[in-house]
Amino acid sequence: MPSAVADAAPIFAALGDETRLRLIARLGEGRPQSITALTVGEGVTRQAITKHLRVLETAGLIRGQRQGREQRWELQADRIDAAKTWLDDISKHWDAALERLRAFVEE
Amino acid sequence: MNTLPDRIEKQAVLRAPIERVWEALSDSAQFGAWFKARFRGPFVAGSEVVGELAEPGHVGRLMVLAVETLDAPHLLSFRWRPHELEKPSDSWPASTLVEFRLEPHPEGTLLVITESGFEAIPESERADYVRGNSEGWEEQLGRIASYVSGTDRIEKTVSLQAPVERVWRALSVAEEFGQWFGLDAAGETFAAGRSAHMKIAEPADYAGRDFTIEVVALEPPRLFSFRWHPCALDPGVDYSSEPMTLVEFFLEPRDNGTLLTVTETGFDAIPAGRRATAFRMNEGGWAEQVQRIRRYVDA
Repeated sequence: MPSAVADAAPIFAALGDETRLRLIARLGEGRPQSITALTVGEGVTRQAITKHLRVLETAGLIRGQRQGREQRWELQADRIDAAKTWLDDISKHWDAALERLRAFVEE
Repeated sequence: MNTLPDRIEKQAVLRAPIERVWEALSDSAQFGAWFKARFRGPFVAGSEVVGELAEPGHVGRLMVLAVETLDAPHLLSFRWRPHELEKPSDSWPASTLVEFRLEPHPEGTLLVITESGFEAIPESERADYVRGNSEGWEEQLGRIASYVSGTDRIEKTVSLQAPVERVWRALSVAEEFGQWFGLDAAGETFAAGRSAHMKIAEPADYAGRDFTIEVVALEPPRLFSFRWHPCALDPGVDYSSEPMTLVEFFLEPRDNGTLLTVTETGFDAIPAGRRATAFRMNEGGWAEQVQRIRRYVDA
């Protein structure tokens, strides 16, 4: 878990792009998809989609698998969860501290 | 001849989608969060909105934005008279124009901030104004970049059933702060610009360790802020060269109670390796804190 936290920053950087966020959303539907399928409706070239997929792969957010003649991409959901966990954790610390403050001033 | 630029222009690529950046600009509450101001209404094209500064040294001062354009997600513009912070506005009726322009960028969003119309400013004050705001917008650009990054900041708002003065005491008096935060602050006082040295009291695993904050602002009864090294608990590590996060408590009177907003910013500057350590500490440490509260509340 801690190593996933150290990697959280690149994950958020990888997600900081509309096209890549849309790709994540499309892959979030569950089944692995080919570049051809992912390019449909994006209004950008296959090469551009390939570039975005590489960024997401480098951040560990998606994984490519060869099926027959085609590369198919799928989401690595646990990595996205790890990034969220890190933020949630620091956030919980403040929730706890503020509840103690509430008990302290409202008594 | 002394020539001043006729506009200030600052730009940066923000690591967030354009819709996210637009939200952070066009929603007056979000704009206020990074700009450090509280607006009394939404941004509406053709309308004025009053904002109250939440910035150290200026807390409670008013400013008026006359919103001109809200063209989602590409352009927000308004006119303002920043000098009204210092002087009655009728001494300076004209205003300068501030524009935020957004464009999609392969890495996120390109944001360009411009301010123009300096002929509105009395000539004797123009050079100072341009220099001051040039630095000011540079800083604000950094703040909005942090705000939209999604990993740099935490913000919490709670409504407390206690008067502002009571909450202010619980924050600004070191011993009271220690009581709810889990610190031994005996004999310590908080003063702006000074460090306060305390010991951890809870959780027990860390009891007795040094705990230091650098107080930034202490402006009763509205703003208390300090810098610290988050979770700097390993006695074998010298944290002094590392960047700190900024913690700000902002208090607003509400009915008979207090609306308290806490923000912690600057996480993006913390080295990745340290974040992992902080997280390990948090996993055990904060779970313990939660148990303590449960016992306290249930008792």
